[in-house]
Amino acid sequence: MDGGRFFGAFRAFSGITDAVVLSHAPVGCNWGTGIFNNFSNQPDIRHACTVVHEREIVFGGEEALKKALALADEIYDRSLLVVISGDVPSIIGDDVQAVIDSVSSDEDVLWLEAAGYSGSMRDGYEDALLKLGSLMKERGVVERSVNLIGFCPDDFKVHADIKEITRIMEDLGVKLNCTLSICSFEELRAAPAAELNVVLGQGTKLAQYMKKEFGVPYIEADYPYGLEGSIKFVDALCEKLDIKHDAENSLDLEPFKRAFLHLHEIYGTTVSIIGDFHCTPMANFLEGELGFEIEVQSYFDRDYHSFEEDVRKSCTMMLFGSSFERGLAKELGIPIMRFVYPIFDQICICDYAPYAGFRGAAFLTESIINAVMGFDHKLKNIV
Amino acid sequence: MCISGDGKDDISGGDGVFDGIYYNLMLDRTFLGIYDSISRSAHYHGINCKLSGSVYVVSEIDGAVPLIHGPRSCAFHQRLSPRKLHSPVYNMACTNLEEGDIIYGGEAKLRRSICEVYNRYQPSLIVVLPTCISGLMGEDVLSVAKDVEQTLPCNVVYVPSEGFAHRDRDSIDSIMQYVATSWKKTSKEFDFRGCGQVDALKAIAEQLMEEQDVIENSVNLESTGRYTYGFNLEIQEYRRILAKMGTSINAVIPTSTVEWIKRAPAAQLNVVRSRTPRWADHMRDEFGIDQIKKWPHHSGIDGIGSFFLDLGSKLGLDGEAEEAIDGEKKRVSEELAKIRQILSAYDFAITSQNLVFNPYRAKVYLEDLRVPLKYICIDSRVLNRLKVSQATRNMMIKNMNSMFEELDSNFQVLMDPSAEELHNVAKKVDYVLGEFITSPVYEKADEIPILDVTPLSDLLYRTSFGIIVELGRRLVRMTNSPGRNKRHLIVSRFDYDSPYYPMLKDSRITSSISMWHGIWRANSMRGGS
Repeated sequence: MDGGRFFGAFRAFSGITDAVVLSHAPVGCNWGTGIFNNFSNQPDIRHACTVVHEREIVFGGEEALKKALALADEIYDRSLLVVISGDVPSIIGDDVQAVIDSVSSDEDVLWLEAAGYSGSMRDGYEDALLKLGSLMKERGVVERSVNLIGFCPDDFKVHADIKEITRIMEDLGVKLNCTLSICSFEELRAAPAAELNVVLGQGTKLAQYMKKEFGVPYIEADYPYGLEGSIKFVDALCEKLDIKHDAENSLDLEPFKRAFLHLHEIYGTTVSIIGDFHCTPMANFLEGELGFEIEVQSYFDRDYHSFEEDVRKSCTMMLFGSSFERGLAKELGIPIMRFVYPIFDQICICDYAPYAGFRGAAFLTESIINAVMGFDHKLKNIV
Repeated sequence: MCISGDGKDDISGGDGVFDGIYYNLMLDRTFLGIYDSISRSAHYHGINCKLSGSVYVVSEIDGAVPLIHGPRSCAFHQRLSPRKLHSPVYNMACTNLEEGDIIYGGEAKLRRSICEVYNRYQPSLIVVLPTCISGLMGEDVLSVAKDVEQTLPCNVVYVPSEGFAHRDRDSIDSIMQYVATSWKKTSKEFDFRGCGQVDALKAIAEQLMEEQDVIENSVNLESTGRYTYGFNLEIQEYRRILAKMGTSINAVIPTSTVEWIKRAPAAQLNVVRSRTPRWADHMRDEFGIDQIKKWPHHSGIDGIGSFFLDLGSKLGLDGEAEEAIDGEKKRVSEELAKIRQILSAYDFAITSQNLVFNPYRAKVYLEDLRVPLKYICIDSRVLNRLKVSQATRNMMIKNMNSMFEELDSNFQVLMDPSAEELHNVAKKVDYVLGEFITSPVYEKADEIPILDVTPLSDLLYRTSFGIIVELGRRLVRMTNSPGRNKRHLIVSRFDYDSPYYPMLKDSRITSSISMWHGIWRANSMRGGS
């Protein structure tokens, strides 16, 4: 269950908030990436496609791309135009660079070959960030500032999570320089001003590039779910930036105390979980802090059918994953907690209800308890 | 709003046949509509893949599993079919073509995958759906599918569904011409190429259906999909009326099981509703099954009645059909008597986009509900949005006006009235009926007392007397309701992008819509330029 290289590239590029993403592909690829992209940010429509059709299969797609580039130039008020070349142009051999060169000499048109069959979503994301890295400019370093790398604009809770992580960093006296890739074109270009890059799950290639090109060091950290996850994040940051701070002091147990009886009761709950790089830190929180028993843990780039079969054979009482796991949860008559892309049956429009960070730990716990308490399918025969 | 216990809007009556309709519609509206809006609005700046139409058809068949012959990225998003965002296709398989397969060929992988799908799901039917990639590779998918089918205890069907072969830029114009000529009963069949749904239905008819002993007086119904708005209500009403006529439903295509679809040729007649019913044409040619089509003029009480009379006639059941429809009309007439009386006390205007697609809907208001309609305000800007050509637009409007002239009523037609004109209309009537959830916009300009009839008016294309009765009941309830205090709806605080309502006025949206139309016009041509 992986969206492939094309989806990864789209998700990375579409995070540049004043960029337009032009898919050089048939209509379906544009539809698929777009539909997952807009559930929780419905006005943010900045994608188009070249409508590769039967004629392009016969005569090539370069003319279609040329027309689309010219039209995009005319229509959009944008800072950056990114072309993602999909499966079909890759096979028919369109010379995308030559077309771009023929219509624009500006550096504000970027392109990436991203045929879906040629790699994973992670591959597409990494290579897209690397392309974006080529637009960065050397800047004077802003002390105690960091870039956060690894986000996508259509990650569930992304804006709330970034806000909470920023709050945690500001408490340490650390400033957020840029979030990749949820930032403006100008913020992207100024990314080398950061003192440190923090890679949260993905984006290592870009961090390596920035270290080599601009001398920005980087650390890799887990996505900060839970109190422990947040403490680890803070500790890693403090160590690297030489900040004296005891993260234990940041803990606020009051929200948890308000539901201490429920916390006791959910201890030992048997759950299964699947996801991308968010999966391991989430599982750590569930197991290490809520006391859940993880029955099955898997990842989207592994065999999905085996995951389903293993969960069926297990004693899973609650499932953690994306909207695509709803069918399995329904089949088993258990609740599902959605936390990882793609999520298309819930929205997140509030930027003050995170899943990440110290505050996120409380909100996540609240959501989990509510999901269990609000679910009564197994109890329907009990009067 | 109903003030509990005042009995003011008590217009239920009769034998209860039409009760519960509004509740069922609101279930659909509430729990499906919340998803549909995403898919509908995405059509302003794109269209879905041909493959998704085919996947949708397969997802309607119980016991069938789609197998995508292509990269995993295609299967990833095709699980979420635009027509059922509320319910992804969970059981979907993929051959997962990778770079090596593209070089050396994917047929061996396809063979293996078909067997794996059978072992994994034990389906009655596997539908193999090629993608752009397998299409470009020139794979002989049909031969592989039929070859492997011989070794498995299940059927394997192949549907040509390569994404690059989707419908072309002229398809909307062709559809609109077809629709407009159908009002005058002069339409000819047209070739709606590139629709995944049409091709999947045809493939299933060709490759799955088997010769059967004919069950006398039975019909097959073509469905719009089990999760489409009002589907269950329509099927219930079909069953009830057909039973009265002495007929029965053999299969609902494709909303059925694999076994029932195989047995579809046992029917004597196919009831078709798609614009290009190639599946029914095949059944006519191969199994000798006649067909009857649901046309726009089969709207309203008389229109629906004439449809069932024609259907009965096709089966040689003229007398039975007449008796059944007379009974239905009598029942409807009794139900509507009080409603008509109440509504006759007011003057109405209607503002609608839908009348430009089917002017016969006006008959429901004028002749069935006998609403004193003083103004019909047509919002034709939707035709601009769809980029319908000027010639086709003129034909549609001419035919629509010609239809209106045939109606025995004295109303004024206003095309695309300005806000000021609409205000003036509102001052001259008691109520303005609004379709397409435009009420939030008009509530902003609170001088226009819009009554939102969207939940029912959206369903007037359904073959249902009950929906007409329920529309009447709703109008009465709304006119009985105490006037609302001035509201400050959040949704009314936004600025909208006319004519792309309900899209917001936002340069990102506007530019993407313009971009889509520009590229669609330029590039979606078949063959040479």
